[in-house]
Amino acid sequence: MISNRVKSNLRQTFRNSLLPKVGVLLLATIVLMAVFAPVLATHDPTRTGYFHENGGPYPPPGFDYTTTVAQGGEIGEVRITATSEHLLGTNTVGQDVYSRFLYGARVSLLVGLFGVSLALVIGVPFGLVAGYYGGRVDDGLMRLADVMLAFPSLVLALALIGVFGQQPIRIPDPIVMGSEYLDLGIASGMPESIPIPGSVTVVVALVTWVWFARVSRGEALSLRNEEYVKAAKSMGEHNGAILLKHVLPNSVTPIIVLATIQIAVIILIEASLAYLGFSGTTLSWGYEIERGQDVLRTRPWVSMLPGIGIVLSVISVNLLGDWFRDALDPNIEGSERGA
Amino acid sequence: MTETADGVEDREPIPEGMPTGSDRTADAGDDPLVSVRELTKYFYEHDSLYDRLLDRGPVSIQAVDGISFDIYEGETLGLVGESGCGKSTAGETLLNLQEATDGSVAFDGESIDGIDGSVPSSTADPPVGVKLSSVLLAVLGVVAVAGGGSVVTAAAEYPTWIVVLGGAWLLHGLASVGTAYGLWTVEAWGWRLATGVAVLAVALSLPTLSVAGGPAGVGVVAGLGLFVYLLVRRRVFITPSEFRRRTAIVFQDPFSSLDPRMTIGDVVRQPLDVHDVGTKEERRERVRYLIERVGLSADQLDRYPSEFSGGQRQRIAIARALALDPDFVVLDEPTSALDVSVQAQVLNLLDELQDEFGLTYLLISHDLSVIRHICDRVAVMYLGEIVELGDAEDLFESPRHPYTEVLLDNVPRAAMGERERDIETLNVDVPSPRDPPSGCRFRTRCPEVIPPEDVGLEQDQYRAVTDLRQRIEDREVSLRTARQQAEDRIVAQELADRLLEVDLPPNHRSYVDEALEVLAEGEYQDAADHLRERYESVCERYHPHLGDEDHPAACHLHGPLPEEAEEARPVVE
Amino acid sequence: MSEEILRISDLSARFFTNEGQVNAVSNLDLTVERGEVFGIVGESGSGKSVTALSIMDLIDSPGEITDGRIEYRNADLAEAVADTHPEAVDGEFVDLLSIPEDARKSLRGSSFSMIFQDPMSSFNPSLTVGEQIAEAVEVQRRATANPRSTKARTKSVEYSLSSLVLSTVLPSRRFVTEAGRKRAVELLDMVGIPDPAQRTDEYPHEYSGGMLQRAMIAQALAGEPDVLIADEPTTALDVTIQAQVLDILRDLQEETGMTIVLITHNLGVIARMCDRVGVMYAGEVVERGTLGDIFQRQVHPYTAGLLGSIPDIESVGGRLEPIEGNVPSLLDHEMGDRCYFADRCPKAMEECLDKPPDISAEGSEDHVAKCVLADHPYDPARALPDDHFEELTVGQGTAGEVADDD
Repeated sequence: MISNRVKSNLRQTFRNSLLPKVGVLLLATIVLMAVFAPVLATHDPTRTGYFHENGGPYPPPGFDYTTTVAQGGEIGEVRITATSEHLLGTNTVGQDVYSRFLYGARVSLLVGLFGVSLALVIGVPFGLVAGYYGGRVDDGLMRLADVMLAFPSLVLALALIGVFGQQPIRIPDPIVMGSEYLDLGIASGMPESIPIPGSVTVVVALVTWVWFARVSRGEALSLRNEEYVKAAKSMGEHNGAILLKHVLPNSVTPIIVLATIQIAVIILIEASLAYLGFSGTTLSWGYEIERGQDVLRTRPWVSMLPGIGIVLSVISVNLLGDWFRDALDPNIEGSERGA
Repeated sequence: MTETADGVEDREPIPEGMPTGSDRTADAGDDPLVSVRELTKYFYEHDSLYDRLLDRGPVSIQAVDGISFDIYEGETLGLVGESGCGKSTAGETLLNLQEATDGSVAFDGESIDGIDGSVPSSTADPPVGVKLSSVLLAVLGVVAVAGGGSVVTAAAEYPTWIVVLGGAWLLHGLASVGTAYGLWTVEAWGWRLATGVAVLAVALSLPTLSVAGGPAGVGVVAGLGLFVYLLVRRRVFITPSEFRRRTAIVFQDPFSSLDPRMTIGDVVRQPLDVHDVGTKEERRERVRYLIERVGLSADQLDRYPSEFSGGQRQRIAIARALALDPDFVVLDEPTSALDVSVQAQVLNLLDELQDEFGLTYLLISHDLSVIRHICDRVAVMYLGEIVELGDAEDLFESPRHPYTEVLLDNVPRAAMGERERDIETLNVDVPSPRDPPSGCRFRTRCPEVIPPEDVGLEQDQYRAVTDLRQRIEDREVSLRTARQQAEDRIVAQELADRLLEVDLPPNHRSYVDEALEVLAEGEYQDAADHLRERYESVCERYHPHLGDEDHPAACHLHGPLPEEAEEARPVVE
Repeated sequence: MSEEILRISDLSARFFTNEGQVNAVSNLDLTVERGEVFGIVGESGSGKSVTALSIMDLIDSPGEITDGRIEYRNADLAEAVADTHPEAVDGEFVDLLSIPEDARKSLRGSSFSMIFQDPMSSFNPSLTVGEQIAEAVEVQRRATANPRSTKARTKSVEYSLSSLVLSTVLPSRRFVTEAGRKRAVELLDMVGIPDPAQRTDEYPHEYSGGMLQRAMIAQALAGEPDVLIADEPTTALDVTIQAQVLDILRDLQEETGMTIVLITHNLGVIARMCDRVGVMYAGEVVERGTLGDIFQRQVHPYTAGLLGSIPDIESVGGRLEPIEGNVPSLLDHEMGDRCYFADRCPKAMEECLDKPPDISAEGSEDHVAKCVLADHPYDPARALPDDHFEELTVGQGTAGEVADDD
């Protein structure tokens, strides 16, 4: 589906500019972190109660703080310092921040990936059919899409969560299972299954599919007037095959670009939903930010790391999207000649 | 330069036993290969839901308005006209690539209505793919029945909407099993049902995802897979019609007519695949033969269209058109996008192929030289209508319609002495096909409009008056500008100075001035009516028809007197 | 009459693309006389448009004029730059390539004007036609009043986002004076627009293609240029409209006595309009001369091939005599050092493997062909074998097409 010219363009843009390299490097790091979270994590991310003996959570290096404690009727100040046990400290309920950061990446990426796939599955056929057939079909389908677009996506997402409830889907963690089965002992003490916020995945897809429908409709609308589509018709090819053989492959490029951008959007929506407490799982960057919000002044590290995680993953995916767009956009490639 | 006499001698002889164009029209017993009757194609603007809500009526663009002609086997009919005259739309509607608004096309004596509908395949034994997909469908159905059934029976434990979902799955399962059985009989409805069932599977799976992720995922994947498979393999159930095999089209733009993602081998093979012709090896042979026949090398089959020049791509498009050995090929501006030297190569190639493959051509072009070069008969189109139809020789040597005359006259000749040749140019532009002129559509530009008998004006004076009225009718005269410009003079005077470019005899001048005075009051309609009363032409009142003679022209100069035609077709406002 | 106004010698323009250096124009020589219509004819990729853009100084990156002189006869200009750039001045002629950018820019509109193939993209859709013509008039007026000013804005060639922003921030109305408007109406009247007083207030989309093309001519005439360069002015138009536009161009030329350089691929248009013609192929003028030299006494097989390729409207059928093969690659490393037409030439001889010089041919004084046939007749004994270029062309195939694409 991807032609050689596109490949060489991708390669060339990658070589010539810095940003795609940064994006790929960042994303690769985040993906590796997410995949090998059980191996890299130092503690079970769901286990609570890692507190300093004096009651407060552990800070990461550089965030030492003093707290007032009542000891034997006396009130005194105790300085709580970082510990090597919890490299990046613990949060307000005493969970290991570093381990939760790794597991949080999983949720963000999985929701992003599944959400976009689902949105593609709904939106692309919808848009292609609307654009290709045109007329009343197009009218009907696109007005529906307009209605969807009229709502702010987060509001719509919240309403849909209200309908679907918060259903996490628990799937067994392949790394943990594999390690146990092969007796590697590299992921001992880690949770055996990962919770994916199932309804959130469906909801983000329902919120974002419209964009795919619009883009693929636009493509189909122009492609149906291409002469090769008419030629295929003239030889007796039926509409279904034309859609799949000519229209879909030739509209793939903008859809890929959009998909990368939408992954970033979805990561943000998931984080927002989790922040508002509607994710269905607590193992999420957004939820962590919410948890640290009340103690932002005294314990900034609780929110900081997941915040950085969201920013970096969104930036990396956007950089990737920019790279695709630059490389695949036929308008900027090559050079103009007057002759 | 090729001398005229040589040119005639060099012409490839028309194959024996084939009458020439003029003989054919005279000989009524010879059945045409393609017969077009009153073919009409309108496009509609302002036809969306919004427009309905706003209560805006649709505006029709009369691209093709009731054209009729025959094409006989072995000949080349040329369809010529300016851009926007509807010639390309006519070609596409004729092949049913666009649905005709009205009229009929018969190919080889049979109407082409509904040719792309469902023609059940005659295959008695379903191919392996169909068997597999029906088994898959049956399994999917059984699973759905079991799952849906268990949810419904355990109704007490679940919220209502889950039970409803379960019920839907149950029904879906039953439908799947039924469809799977139907697929074995390989009928058109089997395909439709299966597609419906597959789509339903995806639709039901989505809400199910939040209840049971795993099974729903399987449902989505299976449903989608089935849907896609059925779409691609629809050919197994429904055979493309014979009409599609016997006709082909070559388009204008060699850059858009080939799918950029297909190798040229695939491009040329596509028609063979669609019609399932021959074995793989035979298809490959045929493709190699065709590619070499049009003058490319068979080594290049794996290359992509972007690696070829315009002329080469047009050759590839021609090879594709010939793949199924068609009888009739529509050539839609096949050389307009090419350089002259390459155009000549392609024209020669088309000429050779016509003899070799026994082809009948409909050549659509705006280039009169090309039309004259290869056509046996020519139809001239103007604003959606055929205004003249005749033998190429006749039509070019003695054109009957004023439009044809102007067209021929306006083509610059590549020869010495061209600078001195007097050309009659039209000063008015083509009217919009949204609102074509009443009566004869060419009358707004025609240099030979028939004035009312008693008027006694020169053609250019008469033209000036009619143009003025046209502009008043279209509300194109801005009184505001006129009032500003007039300053202390009389507005009507200013209007006359501005709008009348020729001098009129005094009696006419005073009549026109009366109208302008009315106009100066802002009464457009009255002013136009006043002028119409005295200057309305027959060309405006009556629509001229294309007669049945050998070389008909739709023009009142040649037709029956308008008085007689009055009842035939009064103008509809 | 025969006073040279434009003298182009040894002009080369190169484009530096990803595929390599494209020799769009190579060592081009031609002269244009005052008051004539000079035609440049050639197929796509022959360099005819690049030549026009070079005269207008409109070649943008990645293109560049690498060599040559474009000399323009203008006594005032010669006097003005004689002190600062003596090397550019030769009598009344000034080499445009060696005078400063500002001075060149100020020539646009007043000395040279250009009209393009696509009138739609040459007008800003958000301003009326009259405003845009009046703006051109005003810009020219200011430029003439204050020739040294660099602020004399040159019209942007195409409608773009920046011009939209500019027209919003700096409304063109400021350029529209009462005098400018009057002149705009006059100009529209000159190009045969009916009822110009009203038409001047209409927007480009209210004009038909033919009228817009005429309006563009009117705009180009705003500065009363010495030389009007028309780049395929009728290619996008129908024959009836083409006839109108050509008529107007011819009338204007007769009325104002300006010089027209007409670029087209249509030999019919050339025959109708031109006094003298240059035939371009692969970035070179392969033959030039009067209309009669080209149409009746042509020497170069390419000229003959072009004429043989066009179907004749006056007579039926016959086999056309096309030039075999495809348009050549203009990539520097694939061009070699021979007659560029030799691989398609039916009369290629051994000496064609060397680059032919300009050779005078029979006919008018300035009838010149870049072909050895002007010197001695075709000798079958020295003919190149048919397959001489075969390997070369196979290797060239793809890259040549790429260059052909744009």
